Amino acid sequence: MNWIGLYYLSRREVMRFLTTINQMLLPPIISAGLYLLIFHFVIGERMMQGVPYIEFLLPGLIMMTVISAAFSNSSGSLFFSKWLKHFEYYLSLPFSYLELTLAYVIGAIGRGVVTGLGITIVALLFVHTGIHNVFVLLLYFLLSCVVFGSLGIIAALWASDWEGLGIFTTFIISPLTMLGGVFYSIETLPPVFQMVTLFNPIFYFVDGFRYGMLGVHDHSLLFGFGVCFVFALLSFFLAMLLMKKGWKVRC
Amino acid sequence: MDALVISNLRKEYGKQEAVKGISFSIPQGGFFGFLGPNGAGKTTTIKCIMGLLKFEGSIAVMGHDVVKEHTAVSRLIGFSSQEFDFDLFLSVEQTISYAAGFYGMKGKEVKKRTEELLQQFSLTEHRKKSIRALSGGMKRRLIIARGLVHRPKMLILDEPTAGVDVQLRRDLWEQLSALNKAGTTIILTTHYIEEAERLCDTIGIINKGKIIALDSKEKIMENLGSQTLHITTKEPVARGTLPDADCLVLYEGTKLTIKGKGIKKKAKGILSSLESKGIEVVEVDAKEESLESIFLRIVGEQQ
Repeated sequence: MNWIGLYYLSRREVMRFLTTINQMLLPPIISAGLYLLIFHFVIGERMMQGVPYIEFLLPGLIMMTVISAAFSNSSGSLFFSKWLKHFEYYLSLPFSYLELTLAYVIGAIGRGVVTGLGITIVALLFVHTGIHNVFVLLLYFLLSCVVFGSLGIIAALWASDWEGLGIFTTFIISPLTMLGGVFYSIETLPPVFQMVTLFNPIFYFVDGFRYGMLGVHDHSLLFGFGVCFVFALLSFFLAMLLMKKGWKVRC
Repeated sequence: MDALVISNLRKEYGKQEAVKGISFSIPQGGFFGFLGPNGAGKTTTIKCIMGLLKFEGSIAVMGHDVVKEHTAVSRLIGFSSQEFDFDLFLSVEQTISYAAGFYGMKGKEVKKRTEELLQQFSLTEHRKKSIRALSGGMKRRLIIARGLVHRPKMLILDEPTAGVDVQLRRDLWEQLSALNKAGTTIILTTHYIEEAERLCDTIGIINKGKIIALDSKEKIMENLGSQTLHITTKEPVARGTLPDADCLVLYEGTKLTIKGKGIKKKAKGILSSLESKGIEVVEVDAKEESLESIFLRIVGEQQ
């Protein structure tokens, strides 16, 4: 294992978003802050699952932003490298496919951490909240970064242009996130839509993370953890396998 | 053990066969010039060596298979690509220091190697600049410096002097010669045939995916190139004085022009033949066909 090489590659991934704060970090934090501000005034003191709505919303918003940050970090970085032929340089270095995949996922986790912390700090202006179970909170945070960081790698390998990369975000990630219980408890939905939501994997990430923060949840935690864990394993190994095969890169 | 052994390398892009079963080897410490017109298969071959393309056949670097032992091979090879494949998020200094880190160097070693290369390639004063702010020549120096960061045993340079000015080209030639003398095997692709003639000890010419010439520079010049011998005599020489098998002899009074392959070897015999016939030779001048002329001729013959 090239540990030092992995450290430098991961550092490069983290540095990439830290040097472009205006483009990569501030926009999601500002958006989340605006959501909180608007819902704080519009919904007011309304309760959901036994907690004030604004408190209920916060973990969903954090998870939504972390998912989006993790996905766009790995997909954007890898696709940009591919586009500039810089990725060929990486392929010529003494890295195994595990190390290459890990570096992109570590970058995704890093951006998830910074974005998530940023939103939390902004949220503390509007919401008084605590942490119900820090272990569960961190576990779901990590699982979501691994899953969406890995999916970002797959999307970047697949896409042959920027438009192709946008398809993933616009048609898959965003709708699934919006309909994954970020803004509401699925108990408020008609039974058919409740059933449909259970097929949306993002729902389980939001539900588990919300439990870690507030102690409330919509669905079986054990089942939800199983779904998230299996997704994390599958997405990471699929990303590594495609990296090894040089899918659409090494022709 | 040879530095590079390529056996029956084949590469297709869809239905188009870019490399058609080529085989050759390069000894350790060699300076190999890989020549060919645009689209001949040079860069494809090099990308196969670097493990950047899928291919048929086998390639071994210092006995390591480039596909099965990718990480071992990548530690042996330094690569400077034709296209600038820099990470635009890094500065000049970071480009080298991160590359050192990628190869597993630690803190002090990274710093030391970065300083060495910045100095060697006259990039010290540009160290904080972004890649975008560099001129073409600086970028070329940086990409070669990056390829040398781990002190590779084999250096592959794909068009290293494309678009650089004459002074820089000469500086690079000196640096490459010094590296080669220090034991680094070098593979160079170039469109400047003069460059290959000056630097390389072995030349391979590829055209339409096939190797059409491969030998030491001297043998290529001798066997494929023609030589011209200009002889000036005291008295005019009569036609038919010299047997002209395999060569062209022009009789113009006291001037004799003999042209053909391997004339250099035959020169002694020709002069003895003239002497034996009582013809006094005043001046002898031998000219060799340049590698560029040989290259253009044999590639042209294939078109």
